[in-house]
Amino acid sequence: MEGSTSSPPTPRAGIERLLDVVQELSAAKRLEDVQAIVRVAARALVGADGATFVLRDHDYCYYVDEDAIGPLWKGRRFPSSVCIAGWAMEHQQAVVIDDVFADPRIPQSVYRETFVKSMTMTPIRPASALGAIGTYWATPHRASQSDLRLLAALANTTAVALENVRLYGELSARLDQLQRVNDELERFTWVTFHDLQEPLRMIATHSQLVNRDEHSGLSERQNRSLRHVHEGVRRAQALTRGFAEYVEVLSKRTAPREVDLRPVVCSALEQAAAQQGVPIPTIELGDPPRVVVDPLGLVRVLGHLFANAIKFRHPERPLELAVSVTDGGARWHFTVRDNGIGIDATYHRRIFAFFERLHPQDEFVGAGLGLAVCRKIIEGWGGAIGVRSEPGAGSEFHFTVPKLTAEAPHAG
Amino acid sequence: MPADPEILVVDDNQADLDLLLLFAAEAGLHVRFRNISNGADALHDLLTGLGASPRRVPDLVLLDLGLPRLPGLEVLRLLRQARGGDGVPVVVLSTSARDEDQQRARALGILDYWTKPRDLEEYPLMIERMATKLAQRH
Repeated sequence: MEGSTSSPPTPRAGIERLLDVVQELSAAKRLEDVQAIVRVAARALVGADGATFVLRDHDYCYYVDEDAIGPLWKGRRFPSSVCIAGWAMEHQQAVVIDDVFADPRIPQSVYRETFVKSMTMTPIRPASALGAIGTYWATPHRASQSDLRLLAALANTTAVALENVRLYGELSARLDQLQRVNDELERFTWVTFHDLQEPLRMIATHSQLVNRDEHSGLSERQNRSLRHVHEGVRRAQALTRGFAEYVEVLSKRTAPREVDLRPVVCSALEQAAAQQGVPIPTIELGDPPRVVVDPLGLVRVLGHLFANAIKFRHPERPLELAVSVTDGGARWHFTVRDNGIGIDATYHRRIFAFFERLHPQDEFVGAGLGLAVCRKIIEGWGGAIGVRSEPGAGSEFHFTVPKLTAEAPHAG
Repeated sequence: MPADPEILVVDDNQADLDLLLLFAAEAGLHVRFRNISNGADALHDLLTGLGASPRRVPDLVLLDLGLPRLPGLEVLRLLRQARGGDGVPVVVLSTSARDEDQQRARALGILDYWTKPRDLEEYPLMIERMATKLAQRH
């Protein structure tokens, strides 16, 4: 509907224009973008007075879009059997018509309303056509072979772009669906966790209560059973807590800021000691640098490592704990060392997996999720965690934290 | 001799309540416990007490969060909006250890946030903390 008759570009200019169009089309994510690019490009490439973008719609040809000196058929549908776009798609070949009123394939009444005297129609993906690209002239005109080659190249690129649009649409729908499922799962986990805590607590405390009552009249065997009930429920409590924390870690993260490591380490150690029901152990810390980290995440990681060290301390020697932080260029290297019972090399990988426990259940209580949570947090930062240990000789946990800049300026 | 302080326990879990009463008795804590097992009745009771003359307010409210008819946080929010309601001493006693619940409760003005004991051994400690809260009040 805009512009006026233009002369065809030189072959070289045509190819350059085509290259631009190929680039534009490769970035198109929506059908409307493809339409807008193609209608303008088709007309410009061959210097036509108009161009249409036609999509196959079952047995109809749908004139989706156009760019021309006068109105053509934008928004209209024609049966493929009486329409030249339909003919081109069905015969899998481009059509060149010098005089539209002398060609029996043309529905004359439809063309009489327009400026069109000559035209071409190029199928998009001839093998199983998605649509077609039409170009039109207001004066008698014969499209050249090089014009047809340019239009065929445009049609091929358009086919790829349309396929991309379809795939992109499917992908976004899939991602949305996945996100919804994920959100739902997270909520479900929380609710399950919360609703389980109460009955578990009731079983735990009341089984203990009966058990401690000397006049309950229960036999030794019955008391033993009750202790098993209690042991089982404590494990179930630890599991649900660990599981909920694991899920929570996936969804929550605090913004990194520059922190002093001393209070972070102390806070983690206090939590670990309270959780394990022991006095706060001493720790060797040296003179740590200030680092930019997600502080709550770091407290959590260190808390789990400390709790582990306390839980698996050596029965015959006092616990020794040390934390060191060194500058590794692009990342900080953290080391948490203990003198506990150590871990056999067979398990050095497995301990970071979800739901693994190495020590016999009746010896230690723990759901074995702490290190999995640590790995999740650290990998979320883009770091890594590993262990060096020998049975009887203590353990050395290493983890890296990529150096960051604080998200907000922090005075301190 | 002044009457024993009154603790209003807003909780629908009889199993937890039994343990609380048992351990308070074992510790020799001289208190009167009163239980209301849903949020709506608890709020009504507290608001009625605030409006009475003379004012009747428990010496301590132990408030669970997951309550029938009106959630604990709503009880707390509506209580704080009432005239004189900001002076009612409330400790939240909940199963939930979620940071989010703690933050929301603390934002509404509470003396403390305790998670319910998961182990019998934690009960004497909780009774001790309760006695401390009562002593601080008088």
